[in-house]
Amino acid sequence: MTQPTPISTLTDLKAALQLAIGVELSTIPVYLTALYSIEEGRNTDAAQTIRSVVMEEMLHMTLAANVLNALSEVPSVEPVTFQGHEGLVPVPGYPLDSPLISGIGTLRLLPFSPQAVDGFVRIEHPLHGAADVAEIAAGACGYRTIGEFYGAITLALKDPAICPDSAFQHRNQVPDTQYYGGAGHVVEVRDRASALQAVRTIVDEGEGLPPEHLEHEAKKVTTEDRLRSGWQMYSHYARFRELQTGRRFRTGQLANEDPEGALLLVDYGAVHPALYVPRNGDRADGPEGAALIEFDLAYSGLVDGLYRAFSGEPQALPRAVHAMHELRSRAVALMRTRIPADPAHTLCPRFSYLPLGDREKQARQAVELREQSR
Amino acid sequence: MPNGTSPTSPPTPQQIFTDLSAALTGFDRAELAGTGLVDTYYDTLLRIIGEREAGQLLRAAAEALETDRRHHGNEALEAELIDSPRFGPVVVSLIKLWYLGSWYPLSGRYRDVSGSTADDVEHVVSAQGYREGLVWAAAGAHPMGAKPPGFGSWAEPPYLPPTL
Repeated sequence: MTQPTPISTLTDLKAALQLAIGVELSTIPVYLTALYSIEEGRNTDAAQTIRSVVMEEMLHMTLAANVLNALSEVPSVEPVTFQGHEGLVPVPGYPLDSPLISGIGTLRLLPFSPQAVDGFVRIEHPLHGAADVAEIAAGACGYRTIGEFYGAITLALKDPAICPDSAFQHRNQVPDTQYYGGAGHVVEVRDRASALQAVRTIVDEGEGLPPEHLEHEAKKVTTEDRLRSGWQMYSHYARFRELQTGRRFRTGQLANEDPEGALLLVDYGAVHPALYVPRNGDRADGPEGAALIEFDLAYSGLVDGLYRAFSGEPQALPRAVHAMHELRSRAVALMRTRIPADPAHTLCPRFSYLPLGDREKQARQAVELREQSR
Repeated sequence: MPNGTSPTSPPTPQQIFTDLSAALTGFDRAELAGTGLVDTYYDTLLRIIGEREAGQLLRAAAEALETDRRHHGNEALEAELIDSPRFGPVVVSLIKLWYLGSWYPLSGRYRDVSGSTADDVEHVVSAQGYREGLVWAAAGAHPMGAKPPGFGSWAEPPYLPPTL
């Protein structure tokens, strides 16, 4: 059996963490597309479940950034070279075939549907749906699962030959006071121990779960993951399995069993029929095309704001949160808007990160498209 | 073509209603569709003035919009609808409906001529109507108590979209 490629230099470790920020970011649009496609006030349990996972993915993104910052590297959207592979882009585009982790499959932006939920379960399954890790073909970077990727990061962080104690500094940390509304806590990284704790939080809550956790209780909740509201967070995998099967886990059930508790009322009919069309797709012209471009501009600004917040500009974070609220309104508006050439479907936000140099042109195009239709 | 119709097929009543609403409000069809209220407000119009009168209004609107499209102006809409004693009060209430989410009753003078229906009283058409009122977008603000923009956002200036 092939072993995951170890990370052997500090440069590669920093590159891995840059990409880890992107891995966490890459799941968020996938989940948000499903969440925002749910009609107002419908599927409240499903929406709550998806939303809770999104909150934690944002936490994980922050944690990865805190670890990277502690190693004196500024989080950046620029491509990195990792394990000898050049030009790996942290910020994802869709559909996404991860250049980093081969088992995760293609990430697509889909409205809330059985197909979408199957994809969620696959992302969050420790082996991404495979029965054995050996079944997964190793990709270019040598990682088959997110767990293997974070495992390699953990080993490197533990190794003083790769990062000596002096490599850790308490700098540019996003504090826990900035995080609310989700389970878990932001760990400020100041040394090796807190760096490992930050990575462990990512792994415990989410996709990097070790396979043996499938033999554990599905609803096992750590104290850290108990919200003040009393809502208890178990692993993303268990939460999405509940959605997939339409049933809750009973206390004491194992994560690899089929949930046998109460029905979780899921109505795939109460969903906007959003259809993702890539950016150079030709189906949305006119004001609908403008609305899609405006969403991409708002999303790009939000991503930039987050990276600024991760780079020692703490005041950028509250503004990025405001941008998230605005993005939600924009996404919902798109999903209510029928595609003129395909009225059975509505617009789907593209979550396309626009290069800085292209934004002015895109903004002008959006204004022109709107003006033409008036 | 508006709403993606082919040149041969005449616009549906809902399409005419959308185009009329766009011309009356200054928001384009995508912005109106984004509120999720086109169907609700179409139904409201029919509920208040009845299908027969709505049919007359939409016929007049389709003709005026077509004329204005050919001449790149809005004179026909003004003359045939806004200044018309028959349709003017209705389209004014329609503008208020889009902006404020409430139906405002037609004037006494209108009722003297055209009669009235039981529904033609001031009422909030739907909770979503309040949240999606165009007044908030026009002011670069958000509806109080809904669509929360995030803690501390009150410290930021209102945002208005760019224009050419």
